[in-house]
Amino acid sequence: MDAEVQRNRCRPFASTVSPFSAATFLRDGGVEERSMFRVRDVWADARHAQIAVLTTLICLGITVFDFNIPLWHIVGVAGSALGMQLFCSRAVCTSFDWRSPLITAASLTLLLRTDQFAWSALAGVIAIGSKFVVRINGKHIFNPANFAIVILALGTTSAWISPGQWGAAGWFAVTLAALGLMVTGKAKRWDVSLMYLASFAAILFGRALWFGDPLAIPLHQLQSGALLIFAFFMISDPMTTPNARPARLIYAVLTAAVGAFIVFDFYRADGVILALILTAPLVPILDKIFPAERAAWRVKELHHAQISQTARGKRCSRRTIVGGSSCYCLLRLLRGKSRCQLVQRGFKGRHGP
Amino acid sequence: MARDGDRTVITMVNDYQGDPTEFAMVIPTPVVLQESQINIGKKSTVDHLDAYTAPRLVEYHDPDPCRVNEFQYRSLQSAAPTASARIQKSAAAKTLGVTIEAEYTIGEYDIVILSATQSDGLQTWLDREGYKVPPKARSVLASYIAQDMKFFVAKVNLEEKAKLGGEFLRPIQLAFAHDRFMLPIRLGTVNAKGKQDLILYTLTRKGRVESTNYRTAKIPTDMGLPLFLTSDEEFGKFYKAMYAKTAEREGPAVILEYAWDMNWCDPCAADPLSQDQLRELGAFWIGRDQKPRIGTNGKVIAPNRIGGQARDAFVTRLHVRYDAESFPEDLKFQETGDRQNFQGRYIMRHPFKGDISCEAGTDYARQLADRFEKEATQLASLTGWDVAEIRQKMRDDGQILPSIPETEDQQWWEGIWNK
Repeated sequence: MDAEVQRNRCRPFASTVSPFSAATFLRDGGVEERSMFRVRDVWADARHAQIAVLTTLICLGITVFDFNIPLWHIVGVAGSALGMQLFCSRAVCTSFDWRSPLITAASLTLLLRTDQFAWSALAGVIAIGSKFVVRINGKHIFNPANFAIVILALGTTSAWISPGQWGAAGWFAVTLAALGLMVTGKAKRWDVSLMYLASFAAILFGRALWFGDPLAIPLHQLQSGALLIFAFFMISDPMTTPNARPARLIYAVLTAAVGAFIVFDFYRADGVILALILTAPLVPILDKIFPAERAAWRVKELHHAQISQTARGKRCSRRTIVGGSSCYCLLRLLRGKSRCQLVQRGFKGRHGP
Repeated sequence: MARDGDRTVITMVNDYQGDPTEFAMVIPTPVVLQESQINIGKKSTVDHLDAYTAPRLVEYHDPDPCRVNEFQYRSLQSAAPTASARIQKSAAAKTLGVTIEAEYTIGEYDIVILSATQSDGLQTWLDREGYKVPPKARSVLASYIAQDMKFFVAKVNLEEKAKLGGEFLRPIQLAFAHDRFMLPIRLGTVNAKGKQDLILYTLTRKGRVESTNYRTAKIPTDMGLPLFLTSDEEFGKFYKAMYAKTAEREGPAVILEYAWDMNWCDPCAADPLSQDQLRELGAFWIGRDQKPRIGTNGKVIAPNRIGGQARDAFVTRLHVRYDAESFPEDLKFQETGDRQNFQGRYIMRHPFKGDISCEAGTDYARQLADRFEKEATQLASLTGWDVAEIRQKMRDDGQILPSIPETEDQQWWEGIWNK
């Protein structure tokens, strides 16, 4: 085995992206090489900004909003999400990236409530598992956190969403919108968030006008912290939104309409979150109708990853055949892979909540 | 309110204590109610539930007299009409776009179920019937009509009331099935001066109930407080002041006062409710109480009140202080899977009153000073009361430091080497 292959063989941490590695979101597909750590580079990655914002929200929730988030819930979702990411990365021979599962875990911490550790842990496993298994054209379909939340909230009585937990304080809504725009601006997905909010607001105000309600009612509904968190940190996930802007705008309007329908006709306050799992399967269709280059995160490790793709394939195939566990085989089978390929072709997706 | 799935049973107790001829209420309901879906309940059962879920003084396990407010479900109170010709009513109603779906006399109440197509017509009809509906209510009525809600209108039948006697109006109970889990509060805010209080008790199967469109905050609990609050009157004052302060601090929020699995309570402020009482309150999924039965030895075996059959009910007590400005929308709720128990619990610790003339006693006296001060400042921050007044009240109540035996001042280093 030559030196190049040796360096890039399929070991989970072999090509782990360092927290301080430079990462820049490029649409031109260029590879950006950086040799030294710079704070600006770290901040340029929307995922870091998102982790910072979500962590701040968790702290705010616990201190100001008096959330009842037990430590075991945080440990459960974070541990299982990171563990599952590690497992799946190894299984499909891609590099382990801590950012994506951490964002998923933070979203699960914020939005999902359970009364048992087992459900918290299962949430992380389902979320990350869905990302690796439910894929079309190399792109995962469901936002991982959204998928886990909906599966657990509908499938068990021990898990639920608390849409009212943030209240509707004006200052908080403004703060959330500012932070949300910052993160979605970095990820180039502010269009989805704003279109979603505009569509939802149009439905709320239209409904209020139809009913003759005072405008204080739609304003109160629009200031809901849960709605804003969803709009800025879940639906805006670049990896699960359509690639082309027109498609994204259509997607945002559809998700808002389905969400409002569930909220007002099925009287489910968590309708906005449930709606996303219903509209997510439309993304591959929208991508076909509106072809555009896929969003991608380019990191410097990519370079090596691309060079050694063939070498990895050999290594991983051998392991699967000779010593691989049945779980690895199952995962690879589910993904329709007879040979190991580099699944996340040179980028690590930003996963929204 | 008892709810399981989409089945809801609402029990409404009004604290109205004026002239019964002046009493009327209009409640939007999602469906037209049949006579068999309406019942007149016992106020004593609701009082029992109120006592059971009341805040606790841990030192005393007596029922807590602190009733902040009676369960108040005030939708629209206005002057009610005297009896009017019913035959004319129906025809007149139709021309106004109002349909009288049903009319019942149940207990001391005359009940009319209405559906309407126009708010103007509904308002005119209510005005003609003598319900003094404030003009501002029109837009709210219009909103409910657009949402395809029906109206439950009740007023007191004086003849029936006279037959029954008694001062209070008994609770009205409604049973219906609908996905909506909400309380219409908007009509009640139209003609209200200042804020109103609503205490909602829910009985559910899965777990705690919370609001989905307002924040649900918890009342401060597990607080050490001065001893003068042990009197019923003072504790009542304290709780009211603390609630007011909490509601002000939390903003537009529903305050959780009690959440408990009814299978057990330790300690209970009042006897747990029997299964029959829970059924009376609408918990339709609960089996009836076992009747006492005769054992093989001829003795009567009493059913175990607390053990025996499990009470498959979770009780949540939510308290809302609302007005149109801070609560523009109706209250919406959801049942969660949270079965964690929560109660407002206030601890009063009596100091040791015997001889403390020992070294440990001196330390104890010093700790007491800190404790008393902490209790005073804690009470001040919870209620907004003046801390100097609290200290004075504590002294007046006899909560003073035990006399510390006079010892020579000891330097800090003297105790280190046991010299």
